[in-house]
Amino acid sequence: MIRRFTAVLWKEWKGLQPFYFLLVALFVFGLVLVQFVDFMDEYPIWDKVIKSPGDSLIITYILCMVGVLGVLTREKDEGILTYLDGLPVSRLSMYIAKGFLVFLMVSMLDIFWIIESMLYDILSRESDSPPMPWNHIGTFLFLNTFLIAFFVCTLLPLSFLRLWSLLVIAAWFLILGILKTVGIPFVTWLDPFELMQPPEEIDDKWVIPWKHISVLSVIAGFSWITGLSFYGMMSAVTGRKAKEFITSRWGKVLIGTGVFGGLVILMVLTSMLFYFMDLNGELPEEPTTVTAKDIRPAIEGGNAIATAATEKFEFVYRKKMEKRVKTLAKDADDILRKVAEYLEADGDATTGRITVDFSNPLGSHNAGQAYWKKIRMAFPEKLSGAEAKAILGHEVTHVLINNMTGSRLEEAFASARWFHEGLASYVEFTLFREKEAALDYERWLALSSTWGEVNFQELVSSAALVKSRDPNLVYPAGMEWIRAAVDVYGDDCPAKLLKALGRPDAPPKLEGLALWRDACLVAGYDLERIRSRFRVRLKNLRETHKEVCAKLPEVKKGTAERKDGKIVITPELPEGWREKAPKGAEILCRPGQMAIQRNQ
Amino acid sequence: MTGVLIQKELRRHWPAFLLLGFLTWSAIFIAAFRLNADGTGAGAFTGVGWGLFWLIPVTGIILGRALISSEYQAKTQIFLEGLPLPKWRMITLKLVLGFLLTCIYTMGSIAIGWLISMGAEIVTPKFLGIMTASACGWSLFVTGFFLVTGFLGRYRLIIYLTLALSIRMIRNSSIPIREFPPFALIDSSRFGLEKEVWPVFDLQVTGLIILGWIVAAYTLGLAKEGNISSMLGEKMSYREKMFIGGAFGIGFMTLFPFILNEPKPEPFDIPGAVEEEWEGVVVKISPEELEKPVDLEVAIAGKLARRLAKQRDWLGISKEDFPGIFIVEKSDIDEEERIDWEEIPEENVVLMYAGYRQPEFSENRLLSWTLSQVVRKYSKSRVSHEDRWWVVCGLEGLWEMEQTDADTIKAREQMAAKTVKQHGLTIDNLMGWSKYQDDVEWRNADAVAWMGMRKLEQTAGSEAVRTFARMAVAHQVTRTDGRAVAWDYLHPVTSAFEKATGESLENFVTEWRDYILSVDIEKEDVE
Repeated sequence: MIRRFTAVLWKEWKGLQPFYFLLVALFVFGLVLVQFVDFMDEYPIWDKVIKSPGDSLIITYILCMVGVLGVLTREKDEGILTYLDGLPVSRLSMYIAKGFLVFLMVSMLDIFWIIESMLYDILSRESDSPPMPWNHIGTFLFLNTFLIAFFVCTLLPLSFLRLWSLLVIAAWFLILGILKTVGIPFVTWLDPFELMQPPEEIDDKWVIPWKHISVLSVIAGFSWITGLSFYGMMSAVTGRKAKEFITSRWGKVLIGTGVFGGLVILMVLTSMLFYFMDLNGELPEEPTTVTAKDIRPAIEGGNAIATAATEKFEFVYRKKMEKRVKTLAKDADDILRKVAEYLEADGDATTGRITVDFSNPLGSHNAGQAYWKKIRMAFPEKLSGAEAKAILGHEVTHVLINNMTGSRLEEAFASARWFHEGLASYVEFTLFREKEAALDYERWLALSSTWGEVNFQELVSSAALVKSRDPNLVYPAGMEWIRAAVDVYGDDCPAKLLKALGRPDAPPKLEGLALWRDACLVAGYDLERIRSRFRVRLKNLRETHKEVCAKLPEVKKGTAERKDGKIVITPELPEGWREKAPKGAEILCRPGQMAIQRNQ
Repeated sequence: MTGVLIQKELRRHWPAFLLLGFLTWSAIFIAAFRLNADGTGAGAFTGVGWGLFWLIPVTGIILGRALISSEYQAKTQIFLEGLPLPKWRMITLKLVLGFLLTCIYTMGSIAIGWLISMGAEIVTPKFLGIMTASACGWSLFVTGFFLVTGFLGRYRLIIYLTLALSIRMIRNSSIPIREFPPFALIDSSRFGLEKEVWPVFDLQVTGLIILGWIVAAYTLGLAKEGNISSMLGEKMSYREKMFIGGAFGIGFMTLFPFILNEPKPEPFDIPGAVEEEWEGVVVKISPEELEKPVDLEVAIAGKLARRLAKQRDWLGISKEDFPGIFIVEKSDIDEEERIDWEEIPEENVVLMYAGYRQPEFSENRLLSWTLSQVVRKYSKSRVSHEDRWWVVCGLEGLWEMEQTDADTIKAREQMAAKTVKQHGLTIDNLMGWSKYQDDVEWRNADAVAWMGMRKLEQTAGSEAVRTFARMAVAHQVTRTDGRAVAWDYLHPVTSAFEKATGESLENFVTEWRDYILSVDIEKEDVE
């Protein structure tokens, strides 16, 4: 039995030789390439390999696809399956041999690659370098090897689909991505690319996600058995029976029913998903107890959709909002004219109407969202007319920024979000609100700046900002930066910056400080002077709000633990903070998106 | 006969066509539904655009295979050629069928988006026209491409690989691919949102490309049998696929770093700064307040330019390679040093911050720190490696102390003496300079390094110090690659020292330590 299996292994080994050649070639090539593009003695394994495994996992997945897809049908395509069936070897042994060899070779490639990275790490060591992270390397290898096994097992049954497997894989990741964005609980457990979540710091413990591994193991096991069943049933004759069946009347009926039935089921399932969400796009705390009626009111009567138009706007709203929307609509053109005038937006940027959609739910905690000539806004009953105008002014600013810069800032959103929100807030508070309305923003920024200087470098990198601060700090901080720019270069400074950003010959894909240096230089401004003024303004804010800030306790330490399926955060607060704090003040914990995903 | 051929295609491929429609529409339905419902997207049509961008290439591949390359692979094209029908009509029929199906999938997707929006999208005829034209333009472009490559049979794999890798490369380069047609037609920031402006230019260019695909399809399809087209029809073996795939992948990845064109922003500058130039060294200083007189800035810039030019020649750096020096006033900077800097990647400039109106500020320190940033820039930070960084720290001390008063020198000597007395000094400390700096605090480590360079100047002469400095820290590095690493390994700092001074570094460290320890430590300091 073992001899027969060894023979099968040998046969498959020979058959897969071109694939091994490809793997070896890729490895050798990588070895050479790094000498041309990197300083190999500045290559710590933690920073370069372990901390961000995303790209390497994608390459591993592609290699598994190359190795597995088609491997089960090759004998049939080459017409030698009948011959193989005549030999004293089982389909099971052939199936195991094929999967195992692909798994083994891709794993070996990854192990060699880790060894190569470890050698570079040794070359990169300095006297104050942390010790080699053996635990993390071990965990990385374990999870990586598990994922290779998972990829191979799940790709095996797709092997029969040949070219169609690409469509299935694309559809699977599309659906998974959508389910994740909608926020279906635990859906990340279905995503193998979420398995490897290295800790933030090299000294932190890497907790192995056993539950996630268990879920993926079940999927892998099921897929492996499915693939085996298909392989066992695969006929050596080129699918004649299947073709006969497909072309028969019953076959046609069955396929037709399957296709349309599937479509209906899909629609029903997705509609059910929709009912998990309330009108603000948030998941209710107890989804099981909420009925569809509570969540999604009927769209007749007050919820029927109506439209209205002005010279520059189209409004889509629910009937029940009609009065409020029409009041706002009266001033809408004027709001656009004011903002366009301030930003010196020319005719192209204001061509056509802007659609304002009040009819659909928004992302949580959002008052409005702006896109290319479209705004989605919430319009709850308690929102006053003045407030709605201010929000519309804010969102219109976003629309004009997009149009004036040809959506260039969208491409560099991580470096430009602060400017988008800062300028929109500046316009909102300067043109559409009372002067003292910005007090909350100023206090927020003063407090944040008291706890740690708000640097411009943080603002131009969302990743850096999110790491240490509330990402929404871009609203007050961006607004203060715009104020600083206006202080130094005058009222037309934002308009000139927008023109510089949107100039046709602007270098594309600039990011970070380089983007803003470039824009300032073209506008004839000194970025450093604006930064300097920004620092001065922050200092003044700290002074102004010194007393309030002193009353609010800064949480510097604390513990976080899992308890009864929840994460319990216990901050260490200074004694007597509650007495000192302003009346009614409470601590609010807002976990970041990353924390939510990790918890799932 | 045409009707019969259409029936033949439908009979042969109807399950595939139906399944393709089902999968495409299902995926687009989910994408559009989700973007419309959860409030994070602009609306249902954004989801449609997103789905079309990703799914139409997959449907294109399958249509190309089903309609074109399967005929070659199954050798049925020989049968087709035997029919009493001109070949061009058969090609026309296949192309029309491919394009028609694509349009059905595309327009069906738009209809799904409209249904999902449940009246929340105001669909005017013009808006519908813009959206349909954009979506169909994109879809026909993609399908046209895959129909043409279907004629290439076995060699289409090469084209696909080239295309996939090129797109990956372009996405990482400075080319804004989404602004070019046909990609601009399906650009997610505008598709389904632009209601007024027809993308005339994008549609024209896309139309021309589609026309090009059609011409290419006829050229390839009408080629006589027995020549290139039959060869193209051959199926590629597993070995060929792996070899060609690997070769192409490797070829592209090799070229990638070299043809990657980083975006070039405006050259770094500070408008309105005070500028002084001396023998090719340009120093620009920007004060915090423009209104104040700039006498101080002019004086600092002038002095700094002269001293930098002198040290540049001493280090052997050419005028052309010397970076532009920018100094920005920052009064609220670290109170002890009053100097800071910021890295400007990909630009040959050094940006320093200085609180030069503050009492603690020292022009000498500004000079020495600026120079250490210059050598760092010049070597692409290779001198920051700890086995070389102590040399930079020592030279920094020499440059700073050149024009410093006796009290500062004495204080620095005391720092060095106390440090060495407490922590010692060995060659291992030099080679592990980062840890030494951590252990003794970087200012003390700097003082120790400076005393070493002063001792070397006294014993071996200033010429030897200069030679050593040039060999150890003034080697120019122009690209991030293995050459710089090899150079550092072949020219270790110990052998550079020996070559420059004729003495081993190990022996010198003993002399250096004794020299520092010979400094009398003042009593109150000891206490």
